[in-house]
Amino acid sequence: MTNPDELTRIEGQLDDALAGLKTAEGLEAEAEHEAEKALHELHDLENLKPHEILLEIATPKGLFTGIFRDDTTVATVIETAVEKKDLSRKDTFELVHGETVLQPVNRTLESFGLKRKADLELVATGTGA
Amino acid sequence: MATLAELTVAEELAAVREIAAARGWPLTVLDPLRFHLGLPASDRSMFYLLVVCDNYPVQPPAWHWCNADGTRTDQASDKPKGSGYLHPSGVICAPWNRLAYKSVDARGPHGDWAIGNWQNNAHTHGCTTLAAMAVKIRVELNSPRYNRGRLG
Repeated sequence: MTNPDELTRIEGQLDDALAGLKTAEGLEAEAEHEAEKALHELHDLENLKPHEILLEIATPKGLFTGIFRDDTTVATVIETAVEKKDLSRKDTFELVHGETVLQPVNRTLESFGLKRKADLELVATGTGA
Repeated sequence: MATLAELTVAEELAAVREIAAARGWPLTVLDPLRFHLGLPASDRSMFYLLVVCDNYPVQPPAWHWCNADGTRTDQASDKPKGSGYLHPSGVICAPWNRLAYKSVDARGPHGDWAIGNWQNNAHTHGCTTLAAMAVKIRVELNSPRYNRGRLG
């Protein structure tokens, strides 16, 4: 007969194993997503003209996708996304690429090293309360 | 009949779903008022949140850090170490997170905020939709304010 402590220990191990499985499933789904996305991007990029950049921007109202010339300023991209997604003009937004905040906004996309395709985030300014 | 909270969450979750699908963020809708979301950090680790939206948008949602399957919330090992929004108390420190209010949660850093006024709080900074909040957390996890580690 198994004692209660042993049961508790086994249940804990089972929980850990399930959590590990869930994490592995998440990583697998992420890898599949990356592969699928790469194929889509390949197709999108084939249709881009020279000096054009395809931007996919996560905004407070969902995704905004647009094609911009690489000499477009960040301010223009923000203005366009705010207008197209009907975001409040009372709020101040900034664009983020990975770990880089695209500032100052009068710089061009190209000056931040962006080429062909980039995933960006449009967020309200502010770093915590 | 659906409540205001259920209708609002359903509408705003569409934007979260769209972004999550495009970025490969794991998203599971648990019921009309709760969802589970994974967000990648700059060190390629994943953080998970259980988001509880009862009374939304009258009150902000509760953004609980949790484990990968959402069965365990508010444990130090599931919380990012950082500053700013990634507050050392282990709750996201923003007016758009219900857990930041001391009146709701003892760990909440703010006894000075009125929860009913969350959308007009100067620190809300336009984060008034579920997608805005999710994207903001993702940005914080990839900013210098994330210390690349966990609280426990």
